[in-house]
Amino acid sequence: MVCERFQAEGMRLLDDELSVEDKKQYEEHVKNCADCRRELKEIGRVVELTNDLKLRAPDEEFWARYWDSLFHRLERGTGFVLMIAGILVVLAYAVYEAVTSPEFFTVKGISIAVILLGLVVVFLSVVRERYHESKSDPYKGVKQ
Amino acid sequence: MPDTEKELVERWLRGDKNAFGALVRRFMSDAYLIALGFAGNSEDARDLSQEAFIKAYAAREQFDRDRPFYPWFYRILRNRCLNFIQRESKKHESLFYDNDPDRERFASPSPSILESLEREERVRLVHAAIERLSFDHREVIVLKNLKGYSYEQIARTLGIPIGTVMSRLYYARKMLKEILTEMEQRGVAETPNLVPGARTAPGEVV
Repeated sequence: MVCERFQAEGMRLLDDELSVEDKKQYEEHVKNCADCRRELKEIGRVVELTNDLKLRAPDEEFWARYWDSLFHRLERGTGFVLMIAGILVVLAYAVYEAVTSPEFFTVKGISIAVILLGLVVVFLSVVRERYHESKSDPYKGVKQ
Repeated sequence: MPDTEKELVERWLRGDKNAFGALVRRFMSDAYLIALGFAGNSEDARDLSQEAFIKAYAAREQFDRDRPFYPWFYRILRNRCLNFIQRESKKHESLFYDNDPDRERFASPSPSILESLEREERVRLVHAAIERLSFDHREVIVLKNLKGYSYEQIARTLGIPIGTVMSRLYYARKMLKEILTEMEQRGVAETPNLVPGARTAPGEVV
């Protein structure tokens, strides 16, 4: 059995979010409430242990490098998108040229077409696998 | 006078990269430290927080300019951290026991070596216990205790009422107490009594 005042006021007391007046009133209540005293002792110890886990803030040099490397990653991202777009255009043009070429139905033409077809199959297989993985992802419903 | 967050966001949405840089500088410390709270080592924390900024930059078309930037950005960061934890938990039983190249991540102003070692062991145990919480519970512990946010700041960041923050935090701490008690009873480590009553027999009055 937990006193309903603990969740509202006991938690605030432990986290130092209670006003002076509310603190006085709640402390009066605690004197006569064994539930709150027990919760304050148990949850208070957990709060003490977790408050001990202060993260170390990195130095100035880290932050200078942080922004530089982020900027370069942003640049690389833009470059990557442009590169993929360029490759797709070149590939589309190559396919068009190949299909309209009189040499397409020769051994050389068919060999190249088979290699390209293999690449397409591999690509589609990867896309399909990723799609199935994302469908079974238990966290996909988490909103952004 | 420095630009307000809204002015920076407006400039960024109009294509000003410098404004995005200013937003990054404003929030990079929070982003990195929160990611450190989830990931447990500085290299992954840096990658996760940077990836979140990159994703935010790429997704600027989806940003609602009537809403504040940070809660929107936080949701991106949160998803990155969630995916990371999910991925890593398949590889390691515990991030902090098996993958701990950065043991200097916590401030340690201990007066003696013995106290310092005891404290370090206690910190590792508590972190291992936090890892066993559900993501929602872990998140409020990271924001409240590791990052030092107030209830109001957590509520604003997560977009939930303060009452929900307090209730989530309460149950997270209850769960943490149970996990620490269980760890202590199983003798995970020779440590001082972490939780009141952890070493008493069932039903014994404390």
